[in-house]
Amino acid sequence: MIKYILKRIGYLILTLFLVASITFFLMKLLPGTPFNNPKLTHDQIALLNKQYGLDKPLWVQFFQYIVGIAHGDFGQSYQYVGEPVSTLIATRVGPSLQLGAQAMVVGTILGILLGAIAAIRKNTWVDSVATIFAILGRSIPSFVFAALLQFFVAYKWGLFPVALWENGFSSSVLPTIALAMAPLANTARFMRTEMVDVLNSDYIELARSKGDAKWQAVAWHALRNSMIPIVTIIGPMAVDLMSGSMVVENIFAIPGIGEQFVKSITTNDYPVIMGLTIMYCFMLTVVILIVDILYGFIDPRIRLTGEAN
Amino acid sequence: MEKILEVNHLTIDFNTFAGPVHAIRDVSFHLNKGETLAIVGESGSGKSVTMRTVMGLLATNAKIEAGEVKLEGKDILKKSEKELNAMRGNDVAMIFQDPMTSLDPTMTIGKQVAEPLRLHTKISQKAALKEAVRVLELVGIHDAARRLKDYPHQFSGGQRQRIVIAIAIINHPKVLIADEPTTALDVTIQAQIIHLLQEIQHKIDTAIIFITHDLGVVAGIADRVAVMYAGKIIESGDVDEVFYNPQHPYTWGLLEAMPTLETKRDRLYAIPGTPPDLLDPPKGDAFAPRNRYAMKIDTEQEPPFFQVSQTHYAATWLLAPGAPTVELPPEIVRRRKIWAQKHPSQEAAK
Repeated sequence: MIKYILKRIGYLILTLFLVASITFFLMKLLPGTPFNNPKLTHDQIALLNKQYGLDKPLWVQFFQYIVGIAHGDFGQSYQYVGEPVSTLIATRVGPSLQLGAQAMVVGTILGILLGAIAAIRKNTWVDSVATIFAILGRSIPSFVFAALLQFFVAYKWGLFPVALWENGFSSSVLPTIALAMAPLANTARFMRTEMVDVLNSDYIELARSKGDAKWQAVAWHALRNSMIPIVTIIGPMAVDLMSGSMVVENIFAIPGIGEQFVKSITTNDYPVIMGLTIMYCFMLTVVILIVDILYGFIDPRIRLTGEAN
Repeated sequence: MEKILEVNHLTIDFNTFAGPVHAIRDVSFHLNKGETLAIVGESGSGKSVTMRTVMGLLATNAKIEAGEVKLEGKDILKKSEKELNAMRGNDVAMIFQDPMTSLDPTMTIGKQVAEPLRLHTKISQKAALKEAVRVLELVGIHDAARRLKDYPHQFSGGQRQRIVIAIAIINHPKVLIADEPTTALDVTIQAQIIHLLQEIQHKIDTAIIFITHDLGVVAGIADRVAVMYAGKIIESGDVDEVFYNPQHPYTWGLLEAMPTLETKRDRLYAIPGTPPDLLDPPKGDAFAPRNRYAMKIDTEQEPPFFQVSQTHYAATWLLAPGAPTVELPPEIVRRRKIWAQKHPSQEAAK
């Protein structure tokens, strides 16, 4: 198991290196420059380029960049002069992680419940309502939910703050709901399909013939088995959440990395864009690693070899 | 003999988009304490549906039109869901066809085997697991104590069927329903499992209903046999009576289609045609269109049960007074000869 995790961490580093390289060169291909203020003279731009090392040959820049990353140095921001990218990310990653984790937990748990109820009450009005809810949740983008929540729940009813990150947990409630809709809908759809299959399976019939009441068969046998494919989609859902957070954080004016990412792209702040890309990539690969380890806990058939017995 | 289970005039329809399918049509049979009753018939003849009715586990689109299913004198069709839960796995237990899919893949077998005990008795998890070890050893899982924490995928097909049997017998049910328990297993394992069932029946004194389409299996295990066709029982009797003195042309066909050591023909006999559409069962005897001995009345009127002996009944017009004597297939002639040797007095009476 430990050997396996170490191996996976090795792959993780390789992945990060590749992502860092690709983003680095993509940045260089981007049209425009960070120093596009029309008041800057030619000499001043040359000076700035020199100051940030942009005058050196491409391969030297690349080499310096990678060495820097290895030391935890992601360069300095162009837009906030003198601010290292690493501190910028460190101060902003907290709210994003909190939102992402909350949305993930709320989304999957409610999604599992919704999907399970729909499957148990298959072909009844409960199932139809759940299906419509899931389709809406899946097809309406998170920024629409965000705007609706702001308008009704925050502005009209005054239950939660409209925006900003100043009231602790209550500030996080609306963005969490807006973000959680997609994973909730996704999970519910997968859960329903899988649960319908599982409820028709032989082992559920065997459970019933042991004397399990319907709810007992569901709670002890069907739920766990139905959750196996849910684990599979946690990875892609995490990606959804990350991209969703960029928009939602902007709408709620939350000082997270999603909001920063968008701001940096509009200002051609290369080091911040690259740093955040690597950060997102890092979070995603960690999520995937956790999912793979989780798999073994839920499904004994794919428990890692060497661990059994 | 004391009847433990009695099914009377059971009639079940399945509601489908095309209309009601008459899956079970006036089925009656009984099961005596401690005996083995084999229910034989091809796929779709209603064997499994009948058994699911006895378990109280019918699909939601099934509708019981008429009849009663009495377990120790009490009609289970009138029982509440709660009473049924208390009955299943305790008074009546079931062994399923496919051991590869009938165990929960994510639960240890110890827990799965102990579950019926936990459900029906006030017993601690520890004591239940201890009992599970005992029952697992009884069904031939070696070193069961060490294997309690293993999962189903760590066992072979034969072993899994043994585990399924352990689950079924842990509460010493009065009626054990085995729904084609050997169909999914290879032949050598089949023999072991059947032997195991007989052994267990002896040890825990249970009555077994054995569902199968394999007559060879029936001969070795059953006390009595009921043959089902198109949702009806068409012949029933002691195993010898059905095997050596069969009366219904469908039973003849089944026996002809079974290879024996005496079979000389290269090609095995097959009953021509296909079973009838139960959306719209044919008038008269449902087997008539495939029956080379069918008479005019077979296509007009359903035959009643004619009594052959105290225990032997068959629903065919061939047994009606005044029915013509037909020329029997050679295999049946052979079997009747054996019957005559076994029961010289009865044959003389005819």
